[in-house]
Amino acid sequence: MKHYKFTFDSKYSVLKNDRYIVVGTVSSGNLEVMIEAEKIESNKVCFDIITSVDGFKSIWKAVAKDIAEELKIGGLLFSINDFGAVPAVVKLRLRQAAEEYNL
Amino acid sequence: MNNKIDRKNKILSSVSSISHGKIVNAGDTVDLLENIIKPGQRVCIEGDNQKQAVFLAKSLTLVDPDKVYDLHMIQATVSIPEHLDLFDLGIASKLDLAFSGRQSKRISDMISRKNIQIGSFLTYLELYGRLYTDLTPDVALICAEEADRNGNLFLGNNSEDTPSIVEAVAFSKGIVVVQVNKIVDKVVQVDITENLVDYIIESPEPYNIDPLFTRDPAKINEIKILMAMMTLKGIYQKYGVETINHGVGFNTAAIELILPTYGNRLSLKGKICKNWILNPHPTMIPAIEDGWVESIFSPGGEVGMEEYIRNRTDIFFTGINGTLHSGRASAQVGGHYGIDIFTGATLQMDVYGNSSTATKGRISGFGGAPNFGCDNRGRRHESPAMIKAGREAAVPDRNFRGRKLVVQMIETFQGAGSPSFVEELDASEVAKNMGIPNPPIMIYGDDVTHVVTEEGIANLLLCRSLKEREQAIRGVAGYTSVGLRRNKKKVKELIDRKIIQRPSDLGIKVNEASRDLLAAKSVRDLVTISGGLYNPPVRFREW
Repeated sequence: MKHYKFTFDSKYSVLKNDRYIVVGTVSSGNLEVMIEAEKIESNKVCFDIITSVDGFKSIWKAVAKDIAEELKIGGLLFSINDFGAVPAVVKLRLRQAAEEYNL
Repeated sequence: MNNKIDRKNKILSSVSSISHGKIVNAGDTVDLLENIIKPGQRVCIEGDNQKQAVFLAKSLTLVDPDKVYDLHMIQATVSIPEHLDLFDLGIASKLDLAFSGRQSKRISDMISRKNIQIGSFLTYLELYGRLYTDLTPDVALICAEEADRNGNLFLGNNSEDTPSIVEAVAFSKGIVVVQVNKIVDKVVQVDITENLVDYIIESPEPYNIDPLFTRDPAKINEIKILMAMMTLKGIYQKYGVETINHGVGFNTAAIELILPTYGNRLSLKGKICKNWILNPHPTMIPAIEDGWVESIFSPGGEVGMEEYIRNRTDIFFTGINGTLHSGRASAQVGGHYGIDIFTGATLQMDVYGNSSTATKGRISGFGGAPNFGCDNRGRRHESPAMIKAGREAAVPDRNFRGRKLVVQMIETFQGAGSPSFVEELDASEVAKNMGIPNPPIMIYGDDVTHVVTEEGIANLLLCRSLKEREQAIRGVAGYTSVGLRRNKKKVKELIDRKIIQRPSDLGIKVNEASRDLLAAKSVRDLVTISGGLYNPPVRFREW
């Protein structure tokens, strides 16, 4: 188990709403992504990642940074519980979560 | 100048005591082969992707190597152990082949031990071409479903390579030996006429067929569905591709399975994907039943599809009795010159778009993908898809020409920690180890027009330099080291110029990429949709 936290500065912000969304499931090769807006400053994007696989910190960071830039967002927390998903599945779930959240 | 005819007649009369007319007892096969095959001759054992003349291959391994040696084997595929046993036994010494499939590891071992002399690794079209030029076999050992006593052959659902081999050998006055499953009074239909056949042997075991083209829809995940949606909307719809070939694999199976769902939502039925060069993929059943398909010509047959095809003779090329007619040589010609688009998948791609399936310690050869998956510079008839692709590629002060679309679908990782994109292909090292000048490239980068990954589509037609092509590929290579080394500023420019298009750029909602889009979610669904006509092999039955 590894626990990574990444925070990026952002010049964007999203309309805060008090709901949260979850997509995906924590099953083999899959992951769960939750988005919520509480507790996060509007000029930050945070990623809180728990993963069953060691040794991919730099890739997680790159994926998180790309998503933060692609979505032009701020003021959101992405919580991720990963069970060995390949980067393709990670990106898909993050994009799905963003669509669910109407980003 | 009729020496060949004289020689053939002499050989035939020398074995007249073994044969009864054209019929030879299975027990006399080795004796026959020892007498009709001379040292150093070229011999072809029919063995294509699926159909294998196993009995004749086994019999050839039993000949006396003091009588029959130094054979030069001309093989579409090297699939069964006996094909290579011939070299260990000292019966054969040289091999020209197109594909080695399951023997790929053993063949590379034999090459490095210098147990085998390789003429060339060929593509199918080159192999068939050379059957008629400098590699015409002296003897062909082929297989058929039925023969009558005069030698008329019925080839069954897997005609495949048989007519091409027989034509080359019989008309060059070589000898054609056939193993048949049954000798009958009257064959179902005559696929090969008796004058082209010299000997018939009723085989103690039927010829072997493998189900190679069956992909279980249960194994198609959302990533493949997303890539299929992008390909359908971003390429098939955009160019309006009407004539098409798909490779074998889950990526293209996903496209086939979303035609009746996502394709209908895009109102594409009747406009695209009408005429196919395609093996009888069971995953095509939903699209066929939904009315998408006008015709399918197949390189080979597929186990379990026989009855379905017999009831869909308007779509498939068949005899009057409904038996599938497949033909690899004709399909390769159609797939090279007759189609707008080839879509396939690969295992490894470099930053210029070159792709290869050769990996360390394994040489599987080329098969047919290079002929399907290349631009057809000799083509002169134009289709709307080809014109549109050509215009994108056109450089202003050069002459315009149309382009065939060659699409490679590839997930950025083959599995955890195994990137599909690499700075240098494993094939380069294979070439060094084999001592050959060029790496065995399956599809050359400059023939590829689009690379599709889960990240998006890279349209290489619009790239104006090798540097741009490299960045376009890095731009869709995700989190592989190749992808991480992209120039972010350049990639952003390529996105702005629509050279790279991500799902959102194509108006695709990734939440729609769910298994609900698959018109069949399991093999059982395929059976149901076929009205019970599709009869999958046992290993695909999970109920």
